[in-house]
Amino acid sequence: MTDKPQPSPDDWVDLYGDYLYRYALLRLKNPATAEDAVQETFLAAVKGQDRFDGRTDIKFWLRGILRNKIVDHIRKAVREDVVEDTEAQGILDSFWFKHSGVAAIRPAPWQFDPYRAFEKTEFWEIFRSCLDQLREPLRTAFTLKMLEDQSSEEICKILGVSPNNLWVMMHRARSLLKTCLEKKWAKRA
Amino acid sequence: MLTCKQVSRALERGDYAKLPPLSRLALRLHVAMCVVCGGYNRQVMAFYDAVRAFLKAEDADLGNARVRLPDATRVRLKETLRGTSPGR
Ligand SMILES: [Zn+2]
Repeated sequence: MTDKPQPSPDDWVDLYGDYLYRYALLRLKNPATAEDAVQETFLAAVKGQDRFDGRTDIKFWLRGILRNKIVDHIRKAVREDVVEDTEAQGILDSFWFKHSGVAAIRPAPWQFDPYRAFEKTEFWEIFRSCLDQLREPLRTAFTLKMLEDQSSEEICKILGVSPNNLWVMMHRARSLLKTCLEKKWAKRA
Repeated sequence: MLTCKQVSRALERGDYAKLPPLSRLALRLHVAMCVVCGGYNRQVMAFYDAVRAFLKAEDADLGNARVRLPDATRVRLKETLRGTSPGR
């Protein structure tokens, strides 16, 4: 692959502003915070232009910077609004979990074929709305782990929870999402 | 042979699709057949598969969504960027 000419910073706002803003808004849910994240991204990008190697589309390079800024904002928001998940401890303390770990967890089978649903565009709208309905801190945990690909160690630090607690939070997030998906996807059919 | 614990650990760490093909296959086989951890880990895998497809759909949608960066912000950003010089 050869390097292709890349747009100059003067054009970044017009070319990528909307894309980055939408992405930030999806993750942060708050227009003002999303704008901040976009601004920080552009500033960091201008200052770090020489670190861009020109091998990928500049859009994805900018998005990579934005994703770090988003995690920073989540980190800040969590610190200001400390959340605790008391339900999690219940599962960890249960006799069966202590006795046999994940073998004690037997999720009910899906009420629809998820893999067939993945092929439908409408499914992802439902997935998004179920994700947005997750209560905190489950939504943040799921977003960081699954959407923003953060390590468990990092998420534990951000949320101030133990690895076990994070594990239960992820389990609960999946169970709640599944229940929501089943309800909404079945209703639609 | 992988143990249930190894499989669960690997799936906790991150998307199994990013593992080398052989490890991925070993995981898939274990989870498909294991009566102990299969029920749980199949669900974990389904969510990785779901999220991967979701992110792809999301990215396609980002290109044609109706939401736009507010004009005032756009103008302000351009001014800020013009006043910022590249660092070293
Ligand atoms: Zn197993």
